[in-house]
Amino acid sequence: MHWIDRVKNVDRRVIYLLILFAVAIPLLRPIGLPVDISPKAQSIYDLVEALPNGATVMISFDYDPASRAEVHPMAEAIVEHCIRRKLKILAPALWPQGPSMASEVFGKMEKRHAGLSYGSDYAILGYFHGPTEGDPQVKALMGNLTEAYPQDTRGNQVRDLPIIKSYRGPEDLGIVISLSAGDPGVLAWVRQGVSNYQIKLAAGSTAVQTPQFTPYINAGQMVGLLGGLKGAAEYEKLVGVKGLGTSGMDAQSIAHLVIMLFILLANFVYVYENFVLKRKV
Amino acid sequence: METQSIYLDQGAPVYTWLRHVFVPAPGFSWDMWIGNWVAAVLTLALFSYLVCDNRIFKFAEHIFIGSATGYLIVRYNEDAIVKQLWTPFFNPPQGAARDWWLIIPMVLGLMTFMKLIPSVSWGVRWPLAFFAGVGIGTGMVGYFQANIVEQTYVTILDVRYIDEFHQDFTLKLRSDDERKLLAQAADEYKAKRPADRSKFLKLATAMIRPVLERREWIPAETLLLHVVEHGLPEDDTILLKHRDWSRLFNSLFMWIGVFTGLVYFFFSVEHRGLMGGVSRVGIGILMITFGASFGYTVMARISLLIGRLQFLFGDWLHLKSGLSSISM
Repeated sequence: MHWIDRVKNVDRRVIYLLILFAVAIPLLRPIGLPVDISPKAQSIYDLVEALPNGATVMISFDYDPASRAEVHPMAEAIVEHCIRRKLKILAPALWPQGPSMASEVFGKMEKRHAGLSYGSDYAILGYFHGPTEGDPQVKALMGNLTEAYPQDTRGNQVRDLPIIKSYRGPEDLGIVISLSAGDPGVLAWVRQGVSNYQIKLAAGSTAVQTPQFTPYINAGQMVGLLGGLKGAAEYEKLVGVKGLGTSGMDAQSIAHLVIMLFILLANFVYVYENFVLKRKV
Repeated sequence: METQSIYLDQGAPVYTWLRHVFVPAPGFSWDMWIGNWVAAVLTLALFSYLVCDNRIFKFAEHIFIGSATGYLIVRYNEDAIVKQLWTPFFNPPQGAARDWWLIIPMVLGLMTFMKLIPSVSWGVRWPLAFFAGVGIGTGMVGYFQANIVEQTYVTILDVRYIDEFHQDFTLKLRSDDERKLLAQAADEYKAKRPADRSKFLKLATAMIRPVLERREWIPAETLLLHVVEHGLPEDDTILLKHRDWSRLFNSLFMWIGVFTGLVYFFFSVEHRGLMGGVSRVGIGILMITFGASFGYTVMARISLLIGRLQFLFGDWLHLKSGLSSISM
């Protein structure tokens, strides 16, 4: 068998194994490759930094455990930043699994920040189904929050929570951050929240969705965007925490390198076979 | 919580480390330990598909689908039906009035079950029509505003920028407030003389954004620096000398991309000759877009693998504390 045929017919499991090593080894033995901060991440950080103490922000948990690897690290970094800045956090969810993701993040924060108080500093409002999923969810949420949420995830009457007493409407929100893994998510927030209520919107999304949202940044409809694990690592660096985003970046880079090498190899084989071998024949 | 000593990278003795892989460490509950083991075994079972399709994979797949569906049903029931319908209607909190409007969604919700009885299955069309109507009615205006109006506007900004690039950018001040705002931003910039010039320039240009409202093609930084250097003119007209070639390139690329992309989707004329050439450029632009999307997709898939390995190495095997979602 010619070596070209051997390369062409390489068992796919060999590739899987190489990718596994490319991810596992840097996770266990980090190289410390640098993470640069993109303007899209910096602008979210700057806006949160510029908010006055005690301002209210909304972080919408629009993802589920399937996207946990990408979105959860950025959720932790953003919530950490907001708590350090002493902002009040309202946490609704457009996905049914969102509240459990929020509970996990805030549970960790309660252990890290003594004195963080539920109801005064943050409230996990829970899943809001709305008239139908998508735009109507956001419209109803923005229109009347306490009507959308009679109770929070802990069974409290939302209108009785101290954090709600100072909240009059979307105009009081310093920033809305949608942590999104699909639909309903960022698009519904852009179409309803930004277009109808002029909220300042930022997003943390899975990498797959990132190119879809970029035009909204260019048009000024969104303040910033964190894309995938890289976005999480950028925000962790800005906040100064070493989370799962940072620990995964070496593995991400090496795995991409392996994939690029395979793409180059495949192209080399194609060129060699079609231009060199055929000429010889 | 005493979690440090169980991780191998933090110098835990091998015996201690190994024991706590199989028995919960102090501070870890049995339910968390069992959960980690079930998740780890199911993860490995799903990974086994990479070798070949097998029964263990199918078993794990069915468990995943079943548990996910079960969880969703419980959550929908708890968050949508109990909290938003049952409690406010049948068991309103003390002092709150019964919300009679909830009869409408209740009846519509019950009507969806008419699908199960063939003789009255027509009834399901009513709630579906309602859902579709509400969805379209709510989304239409927002969709048009966000995706058509705003996106078209920023594209036109690029065209205006290209149009004015070859000559001086002209700004006519519309009110005394604009004049004051510009003067204030310039004074602040001059007074602070910041060490981090680029960062402060960004903040100062953000201050003068209202002056450029609906004429955002005019370069804000150039405007600010012009006012800092030359002051404000008497006659309310500012001429800006501006030569940012990279922005010009971006604007040209954006405009060419939009134009050729639209030509590619214009099917009323045969794509031959000039039309064919332009649409080919459009295809090229679309290919670059798909390439960027594919790159991000690869990144997303690798991230999922990283997430699973972080769990296996950190939470399950306690090899490295930095990979554990509990210890951080």
